[in-house]
Amino acid sequence: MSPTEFEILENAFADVEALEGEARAAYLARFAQNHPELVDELGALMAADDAPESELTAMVSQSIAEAARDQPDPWIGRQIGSWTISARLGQGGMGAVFKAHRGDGEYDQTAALKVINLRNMNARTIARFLTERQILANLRHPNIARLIDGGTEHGDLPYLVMEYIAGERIDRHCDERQLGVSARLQLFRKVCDTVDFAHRHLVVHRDIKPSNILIDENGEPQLLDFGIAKLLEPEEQEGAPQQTTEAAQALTPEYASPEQVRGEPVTIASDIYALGVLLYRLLSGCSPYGEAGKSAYELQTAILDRDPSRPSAALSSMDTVAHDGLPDAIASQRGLTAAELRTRLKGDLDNIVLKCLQKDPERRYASARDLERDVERYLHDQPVTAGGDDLAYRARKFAKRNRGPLIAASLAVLGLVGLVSFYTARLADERDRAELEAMRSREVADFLVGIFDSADPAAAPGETVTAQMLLDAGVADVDAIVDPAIRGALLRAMGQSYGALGQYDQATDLLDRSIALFREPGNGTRLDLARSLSARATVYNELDRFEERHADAEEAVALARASYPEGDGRLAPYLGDLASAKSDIFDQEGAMATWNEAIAVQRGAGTYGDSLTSDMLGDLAVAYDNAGRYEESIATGKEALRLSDETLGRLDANGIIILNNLALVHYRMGLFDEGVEFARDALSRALQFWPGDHPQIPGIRMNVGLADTRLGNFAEAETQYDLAAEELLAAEGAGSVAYGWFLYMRGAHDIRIGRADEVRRLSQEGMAIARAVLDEDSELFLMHRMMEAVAERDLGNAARSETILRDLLAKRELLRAADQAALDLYLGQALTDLGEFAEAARLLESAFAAFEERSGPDSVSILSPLNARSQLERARGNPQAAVTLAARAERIADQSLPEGNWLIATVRGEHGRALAEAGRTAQGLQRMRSARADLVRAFGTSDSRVRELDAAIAAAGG
Amino acid sequence: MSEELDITGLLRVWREGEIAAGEKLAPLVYDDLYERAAAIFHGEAEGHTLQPTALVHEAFARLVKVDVEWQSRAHFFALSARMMRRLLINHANSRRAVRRGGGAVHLPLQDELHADDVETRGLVELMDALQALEELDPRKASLIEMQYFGGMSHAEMAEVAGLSVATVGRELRFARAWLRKEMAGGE
Repeated sequence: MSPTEFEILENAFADVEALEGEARAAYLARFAQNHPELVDELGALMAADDAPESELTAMVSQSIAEAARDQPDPWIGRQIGSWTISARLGQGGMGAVFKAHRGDGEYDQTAALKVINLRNMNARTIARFLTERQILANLRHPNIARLIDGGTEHGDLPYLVMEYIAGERIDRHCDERQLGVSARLQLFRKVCDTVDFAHRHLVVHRDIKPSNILIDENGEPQLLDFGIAKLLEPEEQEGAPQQTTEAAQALTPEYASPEQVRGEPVTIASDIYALGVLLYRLLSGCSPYGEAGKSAYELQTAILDRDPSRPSAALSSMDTVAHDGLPDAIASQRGLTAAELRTRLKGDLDNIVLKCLQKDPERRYASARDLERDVERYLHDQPVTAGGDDLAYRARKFAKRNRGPLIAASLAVLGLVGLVSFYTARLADERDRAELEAMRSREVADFLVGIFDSADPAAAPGETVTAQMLLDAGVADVDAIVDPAIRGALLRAMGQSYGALGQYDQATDLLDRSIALFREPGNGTRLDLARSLSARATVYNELDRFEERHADAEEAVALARASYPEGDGRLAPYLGDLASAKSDIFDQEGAMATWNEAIAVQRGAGTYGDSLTSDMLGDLAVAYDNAGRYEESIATGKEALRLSDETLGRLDANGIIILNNLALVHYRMGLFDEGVEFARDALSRALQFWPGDHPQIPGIRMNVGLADTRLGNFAEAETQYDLAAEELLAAEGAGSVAYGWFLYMRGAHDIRIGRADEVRRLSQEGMAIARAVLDEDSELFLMHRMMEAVAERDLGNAARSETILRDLLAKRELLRAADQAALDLYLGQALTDLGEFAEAARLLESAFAAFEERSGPDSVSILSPLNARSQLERARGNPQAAVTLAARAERIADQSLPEGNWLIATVRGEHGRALAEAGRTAQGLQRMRSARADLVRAFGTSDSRVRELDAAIAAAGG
Repeated sequence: MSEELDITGLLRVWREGEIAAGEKLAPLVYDDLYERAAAIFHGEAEGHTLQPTALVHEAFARLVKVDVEWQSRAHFFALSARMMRRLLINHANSRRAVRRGGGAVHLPLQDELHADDVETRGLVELMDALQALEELDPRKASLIEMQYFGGMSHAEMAEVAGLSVATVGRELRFARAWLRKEMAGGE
């Protein structure tokens, strides 16, 4: 065919394709006339156009397979170490596996020999390979294929020799024997047990998949290739962003966890994920993300972004695809129909599998043993832990971030210390060798420290005792490590672990030693010292040794400044720690400046907006609050909340605490209506986030109630107080300090709604608790005593009130500043009632000054002292002065509180009485009547404040 | 170490028009595809298919590793597609030699038996048809190559060939029909 003919055909093909029916027929007829020699060609082209598109694709795929098959295997017959390769067993991403023999005449041995395909081989990676090999050689378990030998051929080709297992892949074993669901689960439990054993010895498998689990002739699972994938991991470089790595690429994509796909550090949680994929396949015969025709790239995208379908649903969705009969085939391999299998999987088994497959490692089972136990529970028809809400997870996360006293030994801690002793022995042997060895031991240290760092006490349950024993053993061994920098890093890591376990004495001891080591010239870097100081500062914080903590944090910052370039984002955490330390030694100015510097550093470095930022802004907001800089506190708190919602999600302890603090700052400014919205938001989030008995919940309820009382929403307030009481009684009991404080809050509500007799009872109960659990100098006791005095005055016993308050004067210094002012206020009021005006005036003026200083000249908080001063002025015959004070109070109340609010009514009533007594009767009566109406609406006609107003109205002639 | 930098750099200058860069890249890609295909076949092929799309994407992930613009990636895929085709041509040629009984490649018995089946004949025919197409219209042959040996999207092909996406679709449709016609006629 000529190029011209080709072109004619191409044009005609395009033309015909655009035509239909008669037009097409006419075109073809014309073409037949003009190009009789090409008419058959065009017909053939049009016929070929109708063929299915997949035909060529299939042909190409087939051809590649053909091409590949034709290549003879170059490995057969090769000699590796003392082993001779006889056959190829398999090929994985990390290298090829061969059957190999060793014979020295005495005895013959068959083994599986794995050649590791490492790119960019260098001395460092080889050294690491050899070290890892030793760990694996020590892993002995009846269900784990043993590592026999290993080395490097010609110094650059690493290989491992493992026990040869003649067995069948677990999935094929199950399918061929048509094992039912229960039998499969029993087999799976053994696999979990074995994986758990390895985790306890600090070996993560990293590549769990059916071809690595063979069922031997005794029906026992044998796990292959434990930890081998570790050899492919990139070395961590400080500060370097992690990339999707060769290791992640090399792993079997179907079984890789999201963190492995991203090239992030691999933990036991990654094995739990792979176990989930395995269980998915054993149960449903499917892969979580479908499988047909997926490239590794597509699969990785799915692993990162898509939620897997439930195993039961995966089986259903296959019906609709071109898999006729496949679900039935899968089900019959399990002795069931497709419908029966679906029913069997639905519910608990779905939940168990999906819990393993969570994208967030922390949401998976904490250990292989936990997973195994859940499967066991399912088999025994007990409720499983998977599924339902995630409160436990949430609570764990909360505990983690709050660095609270939550103690549980993590598996990482468990295994780690065993390794310390192991490496110690090795290092001691090999110290004398040269540079390579130094490099190796450095890696060892980094490795160990990495595990310590990742030891998250909340992440895994475990036996504290065992962890303890191992840690203690590690401490005994650490002295054998010769390199001081490595010893220092290990001491630091172990100190941190003791700190996490709440054993602060051991923690400080180890950290002292670490710091002492790093202080000696030539040992480690300035950053090493900074890290150890930082770690000790954290422990000092737990011990309330704030001055020492501050000193360490300050030195750590100085060292970090000297190590990082100016403005480096890595300075921010050191600055954040220092700021907290300053805050705890009451250097608020310094703390605020340091937080602001840390945040500025983050902005400059482009790291602003992470959870550290949110933490620091939250703390800064509290510092501003303490310093009385409310506007800044609110702005900062709102930004902290925005970031927390962004980085941690709306349902997180961080956001709840920030919201609660925002509410309190608003309250302090007298902005109850705005503030209560924050408190309500905090409460609604807390109820979703925490388990019902979480101790923060009643506190937040009371903060909602506190505002509701002032806003006149008495019923709502009482609902919250009643619920808080229920929760506290259930969680803490009637004799607890927390319940004692509840009684105080409740009393503060009741006194405002005029139930003084009830308040007297509450305060006596509160004092009884304080006496029993604390003492008479405790804040709880003193505050209840003060409340009792207020109640006595309201009940008309001013003299009794005075006696109590004078008693309290002797202990004035034990009270907070704000409460000292309140004490002055109450005593002033009692003395007003008793006619001791001079002293009353002095006390009330001092109280007023303190309130105004604290909350500002327009705050709702100064209404009480203003009112009290107005009453005093009336009592001592200066109604004009009273009018001035009461007018100011009414103006503030009008501006800050909702229309018809009881507090407005209270101050308006006082204003009215002052006006009437000053001779402005009409104005006075008008205010008193309006106030009375509002008070009646709020408290009813029998309230003492209403009755007092009635008397005043009558006296004014109304 | 420097391997990955080299590849990325080569990819860039190649895309910018330096032909020599493509020539340096080609053997790297060829070897990788060859090793991979052989390894997969000799192994279990678990979780892998021998689809060219997958092979080429994986080669990219192994060799390039870092993030590059999608245009550079498209060029890499196009190069891989060419190498894949070359690999298959070499294979088809050795097939022909076996059939003539004069091949230098030793084949185990089982493969001898396999050598005459339909698919293998299909490969030789496909390669011949593609060669014929290349002589008549190199651009269409290259589009076929990119689609079937490189698994490339129409947008990627449009980028590499300097055509509109619509033109790519039109050209491919004709080229496919032409290839099928040619192979059917060759029987």
